[in-house]
Amino acid sequence: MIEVASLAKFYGSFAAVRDLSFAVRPGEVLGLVGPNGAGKTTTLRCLAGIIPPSAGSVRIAGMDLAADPIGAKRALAFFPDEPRLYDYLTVRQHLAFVARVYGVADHEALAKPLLEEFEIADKAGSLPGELSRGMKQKLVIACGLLHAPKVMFFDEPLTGLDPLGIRRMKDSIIRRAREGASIVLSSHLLHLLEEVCTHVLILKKGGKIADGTLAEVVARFSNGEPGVSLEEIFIRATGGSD
Amino acid sequence: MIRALLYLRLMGLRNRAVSMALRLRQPKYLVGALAGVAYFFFVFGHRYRAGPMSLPPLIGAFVLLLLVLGRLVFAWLSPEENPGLRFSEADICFLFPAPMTRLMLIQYNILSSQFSILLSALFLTLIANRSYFLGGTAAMHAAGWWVILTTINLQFTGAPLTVAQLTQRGVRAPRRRAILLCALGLFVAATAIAMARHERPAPPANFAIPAETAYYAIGFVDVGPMHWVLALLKIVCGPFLAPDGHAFLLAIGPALLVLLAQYVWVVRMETSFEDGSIALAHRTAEFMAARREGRRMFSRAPTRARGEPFRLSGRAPAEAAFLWKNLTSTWSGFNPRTVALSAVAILVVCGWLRHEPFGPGALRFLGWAAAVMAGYTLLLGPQYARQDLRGDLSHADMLKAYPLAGWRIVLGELLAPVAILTALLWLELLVFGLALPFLNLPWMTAAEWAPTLVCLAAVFPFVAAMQLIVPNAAVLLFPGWAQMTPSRTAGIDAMGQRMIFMLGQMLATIVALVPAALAAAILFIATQWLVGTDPALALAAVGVLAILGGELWVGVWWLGERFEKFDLAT
Repeated sequence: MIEVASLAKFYGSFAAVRDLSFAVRPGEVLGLVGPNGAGKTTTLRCLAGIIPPSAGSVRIAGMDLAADPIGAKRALAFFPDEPRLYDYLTVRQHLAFVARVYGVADHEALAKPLLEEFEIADKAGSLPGELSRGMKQKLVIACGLLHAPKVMFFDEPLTGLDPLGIRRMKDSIIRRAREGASIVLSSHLLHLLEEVCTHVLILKKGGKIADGTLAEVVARFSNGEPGVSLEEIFIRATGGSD
Repeated sequence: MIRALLYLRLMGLRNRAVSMALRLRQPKYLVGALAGVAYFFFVFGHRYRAGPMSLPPLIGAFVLLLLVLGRLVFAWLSPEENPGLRFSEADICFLFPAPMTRLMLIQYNILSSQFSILLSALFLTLIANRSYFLGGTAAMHAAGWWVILTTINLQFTGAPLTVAQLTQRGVRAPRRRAILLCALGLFVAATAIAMARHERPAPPANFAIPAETAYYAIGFVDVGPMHWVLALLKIVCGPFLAPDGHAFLLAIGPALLVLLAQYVWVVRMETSFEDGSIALAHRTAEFMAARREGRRMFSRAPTRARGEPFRLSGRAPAEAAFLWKNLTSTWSGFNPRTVALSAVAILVVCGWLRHEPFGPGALRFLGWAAAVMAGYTLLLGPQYARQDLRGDLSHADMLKAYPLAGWRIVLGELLAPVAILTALLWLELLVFGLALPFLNLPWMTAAEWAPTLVCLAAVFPFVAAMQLIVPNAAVLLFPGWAQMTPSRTAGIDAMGQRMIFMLGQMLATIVALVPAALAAAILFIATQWLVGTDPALALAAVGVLAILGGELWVGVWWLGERFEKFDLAT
């Protein structure tokens, strides 16, 4: 469960995110969409405890992120858009390191199916320099899933993946949601929202334009017209690219 | 957390060593490693046998101290509101969302730096162990270095945290800087007043003895508020400077107490550093990537448009467009106006020095310094002025798509570094020329000064261009080696590669200069008795220019051919 109340993030006088409130229940996948600079990544970073919000509160699995950061962070995983890895740790050693950070016992037994699920088991002894971008992305995701998080934040999860990788990633997200995880993902790929997300939140200039289930948001911006595409809905909601 | 950090560092070190060992299977790394090992053996072995050194290490240490203090002052005066701590992007990806408190992240940062500090302490002990003039053992020196480096590291960790805390408490950058600058000004003024009132220390009997010279220099400033700063410095440097084991044991306690106090100061800083750290990690990663590709040596990507070095006319030849582009990508202050202003400043300063009592000595020093600098500019300048094919190789696909002959692209690419090096050389020559009357050169009469300087000024651009042809040719001939060279790839093999590459460049330039030098000598000797010294000198210079010009033309044309045949897949 993710509960966000009046979240705001300021850089000086610039409001990157302002007065954002929403909740994501177990089993739900919330798609965070908006034009470039809308505040999607900043929102995700605040929710994951990577940067402190200027105002508002975030509760992860019932724990306040500000009051109990360790407890809250133990329950979450953040997946950045760019896979950033340690140059001199192999795939297997990355998992071992993350296991130590999160205190995961018997991580080897847990890591094996993850590596197989993401098809990088044969690269377990490779350094990041030997991996393609897609493989690095898969490794970051495997590391994040190692401690079985109840809450997940994906920032542009499909970037750099091949078609098969995209399919597997979508299936993986849906499966984790079905198993009871609360998931927030940001993406520019509107078909991803249609296929994966149960809810949508549209951001523009740091503020919330609309949120709800996909059907609710479509109904709100279609003006009663039938068969309006999601792309058209997005353009109507955000007023174009400005 | 400590276990995780140890795992990360130890595995990282092991894998790095294995990677470096494995790449020695490639001949270019193996040869580089052999050259690097030979260099280390020669340098350190030589110094090891040479025994104690005198003033140079002392001056070096003093300059290093000034640089560190300057950097520290800058850290406090930073215009950034939230400077952040230094984490890698991977650290941010894995550790910031991990179940770690802010305090744990700070401790991780401090502990993490200990690995490089320990290695640096050992390295510094190795290179300077026999240079000490106060005795002590290698182990004591290593421990001393560790205390000094850890102190510096804690200062550089505490400063950004304090700055961020001040910002969060409403003390914004302009106010903070004003307060700090006032405090610094008061400190300097109070020290200056104290120095003026204080009796000067007696000069040492022999300035060649480093210890006596050091104590004499310190005695000047060890007054007023500076006394307390120096007292702290003395405590921190105490273990390093201890002459024997007993003194070391006495010194290590207070030094560790100072370290502990700083550690407590840093870890008690409950302040948000995440935003600044993410920005810093991103900038650092961007900078490192650019350096790896050899695009930028010292600067990071510009965040605002730079001024144009000159107005590019629409009818200018393509070569001028390359010059304009490459100059625009370099230091924004480099333009004809800055060079002219620098020349005026040199004229004013040297003119003023001529009429001062200490002027002759100062001009003599400046003259020789300019000559040495000119030598360095010619030898090492091409390694740093890389606004040519080396910097543009990543855009080779675009360059090859231009409707231009290869030689025109090569010529255009060479113009910017030639212009930069020529400007520097001419400024150095100006200083040397103005100092000439005070240099007492017995082999040159006053009448020969002006023609010699003019000849040198004419020849310098050609020599600089010749120096630049070689590394640019290497980029096209040996891309595997040359792309390696500008990068900051670590390791003794990479260092050896760079050394081999530089030696090759020098050798090739010497070979190219031999015909020109021979022609100049023959022309000068053959015509001197006929037309006199000055015209003979001019004739020799013309001969040199003609030969160098011809060589350059052949070089540019040949490089152009190579560029046209250059396979981007290599």
